[in-house]
Amino acid sequence: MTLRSTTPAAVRVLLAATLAVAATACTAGRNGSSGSSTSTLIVNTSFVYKTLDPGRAYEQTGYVALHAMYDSLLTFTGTDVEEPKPNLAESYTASDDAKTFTFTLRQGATFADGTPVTAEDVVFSLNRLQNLKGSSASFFSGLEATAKDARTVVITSEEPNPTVPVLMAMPASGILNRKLVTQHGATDGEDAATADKAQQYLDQAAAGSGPYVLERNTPGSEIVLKANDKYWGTKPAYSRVVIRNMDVQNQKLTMTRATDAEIALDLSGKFLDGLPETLSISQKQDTVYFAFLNTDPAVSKVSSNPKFAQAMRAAIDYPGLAALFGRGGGTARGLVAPAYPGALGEGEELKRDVEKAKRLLAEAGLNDPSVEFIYPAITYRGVDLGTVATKVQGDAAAAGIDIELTPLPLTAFLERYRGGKAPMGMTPQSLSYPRAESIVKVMSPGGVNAERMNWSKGYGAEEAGAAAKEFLAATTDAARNEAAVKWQRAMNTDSPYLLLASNSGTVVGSPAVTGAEYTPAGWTVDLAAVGVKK
Amino acid sequence: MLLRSVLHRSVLHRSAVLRSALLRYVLRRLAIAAGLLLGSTLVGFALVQAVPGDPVAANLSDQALGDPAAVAAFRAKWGLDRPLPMQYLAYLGNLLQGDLGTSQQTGRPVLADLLDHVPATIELVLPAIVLSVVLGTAIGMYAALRQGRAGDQAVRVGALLGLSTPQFWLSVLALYLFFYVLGVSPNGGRLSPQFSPPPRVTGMYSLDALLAGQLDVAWDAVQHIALPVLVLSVVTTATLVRFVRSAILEVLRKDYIAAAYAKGLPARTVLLRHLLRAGLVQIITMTSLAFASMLAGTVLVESVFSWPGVGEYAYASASALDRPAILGVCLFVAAVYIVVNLAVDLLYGVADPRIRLT
Amino acid sequence: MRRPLVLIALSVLGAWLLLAVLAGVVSPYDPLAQSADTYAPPSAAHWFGTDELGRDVLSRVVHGARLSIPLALAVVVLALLLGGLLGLIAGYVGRAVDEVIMRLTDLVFAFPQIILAMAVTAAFGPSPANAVLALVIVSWPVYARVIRGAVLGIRGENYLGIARMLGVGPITVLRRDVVPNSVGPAVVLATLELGNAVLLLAGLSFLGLGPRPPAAEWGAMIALGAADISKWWVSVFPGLAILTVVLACNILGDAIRDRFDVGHR
Repeated sequence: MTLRSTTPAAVRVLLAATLAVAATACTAGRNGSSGSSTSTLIVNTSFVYKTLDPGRAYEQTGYVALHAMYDSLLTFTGTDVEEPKPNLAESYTASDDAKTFTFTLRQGATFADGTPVTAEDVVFSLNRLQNLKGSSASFFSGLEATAKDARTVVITSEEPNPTVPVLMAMPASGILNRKLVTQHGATDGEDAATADKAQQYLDQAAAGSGPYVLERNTPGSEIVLKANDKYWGTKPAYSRVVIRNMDVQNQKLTMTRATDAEIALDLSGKFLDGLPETLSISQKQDTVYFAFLNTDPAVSKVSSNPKFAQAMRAAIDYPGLAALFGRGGGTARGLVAPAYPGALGEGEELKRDVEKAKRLLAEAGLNDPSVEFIYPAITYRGVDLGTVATKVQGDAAAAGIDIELTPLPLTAFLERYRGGKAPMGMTPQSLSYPRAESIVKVMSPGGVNAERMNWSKGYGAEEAGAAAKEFLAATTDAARNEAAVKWQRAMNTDSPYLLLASNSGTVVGSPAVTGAEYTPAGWTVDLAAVGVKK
Repeated sequence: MLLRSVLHRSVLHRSAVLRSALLRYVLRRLAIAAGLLLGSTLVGFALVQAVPGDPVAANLSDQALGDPAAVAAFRAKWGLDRPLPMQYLAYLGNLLQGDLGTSQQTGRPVLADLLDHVPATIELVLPAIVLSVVLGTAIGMYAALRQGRAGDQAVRVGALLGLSTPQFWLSVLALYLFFYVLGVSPNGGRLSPQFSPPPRVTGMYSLDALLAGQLDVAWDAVQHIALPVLVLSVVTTATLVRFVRSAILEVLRKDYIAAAYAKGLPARTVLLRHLLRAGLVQIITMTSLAFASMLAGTVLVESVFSWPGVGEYAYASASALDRPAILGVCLFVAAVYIVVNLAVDLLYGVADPRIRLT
Repeated sequence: MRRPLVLIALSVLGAWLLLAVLAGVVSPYDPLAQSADTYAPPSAAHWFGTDELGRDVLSRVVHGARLSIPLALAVVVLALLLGGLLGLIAGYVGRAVDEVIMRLTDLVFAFPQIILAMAVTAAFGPSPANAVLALVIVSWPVYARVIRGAVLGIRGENYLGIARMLGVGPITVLRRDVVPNSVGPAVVLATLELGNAVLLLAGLSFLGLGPRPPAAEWGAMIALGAADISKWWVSVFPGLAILTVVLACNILGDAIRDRFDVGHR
């Protein structure tokens, strides 16, 4: 109950900018059945969203709804995030230098008002996204979309960027009905950040081509979706979806008794204990928890000592920490969560060695070191971060390290974290889209996050920096994944980041539903893929 | 008795004097209330100044922060480029236009947020107050009339127990028992998921559903209200029991009650006609004050029952350091308290002329 | 009810004080020691069970007394000093000063205690010191009013006027006459307020605004238990601890008040 301001997405903001992934309804693998004509799916989740404008949204709850209302060019289906699948684009090609991508739109796709989806709409939507300069815009910087003809969109990148197809599956790159939204004040001009007035409209109406449209949006209470009559693909099984705001405790209680079609999105960890076996549970480890250390001796003589980081790394009881997250927890391996391409494999789990920790401290001349440890006082995915921090504190104490815990309200935490003066702290972290790219960029020496740790040289900066450079130069997914592994090993050896554990996102479904699968793609669950159990 | 006849006789002669005294009294109370309201804005404003963080960074999105024009406009609107006293005046100016600012968390005007959350709390507080008054008065009178006997002792211990129980703990226990173990109560929130809120008239779901003729929704809303209302009633009932008991005991010591008994009036008549009436003003006062403090004091209970009321809003604002919202809630709560107090004072003044003269 | 109840209340408070002093000796485990035995229900090894990190709930409840009781005492003593001082000044000086101080008490009363305390701790950051500060800020006016009333009572007896006539300085009058005469009501009030302070402190901690983890604080422990109510033992026992302490304080306060017949608020 402690500070129940559960703010998963806001936590995502912790890293540089942030965002999760693509919006869109998938075309394949749906449990198509038309279902009864008034069937309702209830989605219980702890609300985190400010807007339902795809160009501006960046929070979990918003993404769940947006993915059902806005198709994007590509998508991911099921729990897979390796290979982007066709959606509004029936196919695409990439140039060898990973700088030019050509998408061919499918025929017959229409928006909810019957207007056909054209290349113009795609270019408009992507330009608007970039020019709104919202939270996800930075991932799209350096990209330029042009309409070659009504069905062909060419996207060029200044730098080699094999991630472009993945970006085209993010909820942020959902395609809007250009005519409709410009009537309501939308613009894709360079001044969109101030001139675009469409948010108010988009908060109350959907302007996409997805399987659902917006019936009602009551912030803080519920988002109600209804099936899109004009949907170009397979009709979803439920004609209505009610996404309602509910805290985790109540989600557990509700699911325990659920007989109708209900799913819950925030049950994880110990909240899964004791659920009836008839419920379906789908999980993917897509979040990591890490501690950070400031490398500036002016901030802290303790945290700036690389030996201290290594001692801490040896002091932590990794399996014990993972156990706090219940069945979704994973023992720490690498900074890229196991659900994503480029993650470290099994067998690379970090290990505890208290004697080694003590030895390292002695070598460094640190006797009974004491250091402040900040963390956001929130509950993330059903786990109070205070509990995780307390566990780290207890483990460190066993090695003779004194950690003073300082819980902070999220905004205050962000301010201190970003300010670069916090000696040590902890935060969970999810990827903005299912590729390691964003964290390699921000956490390597010179990156936004690394600068907060004042990390540019020493403290393992050379090895990590070289691995990051190799990663960014790679032009294929395969080459990048290989580089990501190298980078994570370097970060685990010597860096101001300590990996603590990984945790899963979870979707729990009542006995009446099928296909309620957790996807690490960014939208948590594909609402249109949830089916009716016969 | 004596007092009343004296007053009766003097009414004719003194009515002009009394009228001006009443006017003076009302004006003085109004002035004090206005002063307190102003003071509460000052207290709230000062408090929020202590909240860490840059208000510009907290209020504007990253993109707007990069736009000097947007930053300048925000600073000008809230007078942030001026010294603190001027900022306060700017805030008061905006306040007078009904602008409490925009919540950083919800992105909506604080006033709109409050209008959503207040009816939810009232929906809990009203039934809790009614229940507490009925129970509190009945039990309190029972105990007073049995002063010193076993029934009185039991009531006094029970009331102390009620006063000593942490509400948030009781809420957790109630949920555990009635929802988790027995499964007879819903698990918090205002409505079961299968229902949509009824068309808004009062903002109280149970009432609105009745007005709209949606009986099933109304019944569901009532079921959701039951547990938090019970928990809230415990402390208020205990307070009222103690209060009513001592108020009645005090009246019992008065001469005219003894006289009434001596005249051979039936106990019930004495009870209703004299005792209750004598204690009524005080009971109403106590109830009004309990109502005012409950309106915002329910934060702990709301937090356990995920009830989106004022307390929950206050808590969410405080834990997110959402300054405009913190300030808005503080002002709202203070305003309610001050207005209720004013009303009670005025009622007193009208009901009992002696008070005006003080 | 008085005698036996008061005796019970006294012994309960005494027991808690003893437990607070001897916490290190009597608790079976280190209250901060984590173990792999998480969420174990009450058993012979762990009478009150264990929590999420495998810590012994009994040991934490016992150690909680070390935190809650001194903090509540600090709140009461500091509020008494601050409120008492302001009440003395208001009553003794009178006029504009009295008016200002009394309006200030009105202002504080205009905010429900928990809301104001919440706002204050939010502003200054959660810590035991700030929680105490917040509660002192919300509770001093009660003392100020009572002391002011006592001082006015003395003035009404023309006590001070005579003293002045006899050429005794104001400080001397305050020290020799006013203070001793108003201490009685203040102490009665303080006893009554002690239970309230324990409750408010626990409430703040429940909201995460009290002592920082891993401290064993009753309100915070209930919050941990509330996160999963199926593990009832995590929150039931610390709640009983609060209940017994507060109840004992209230019984005692009532008894003292009846004895000295001092009004409350």
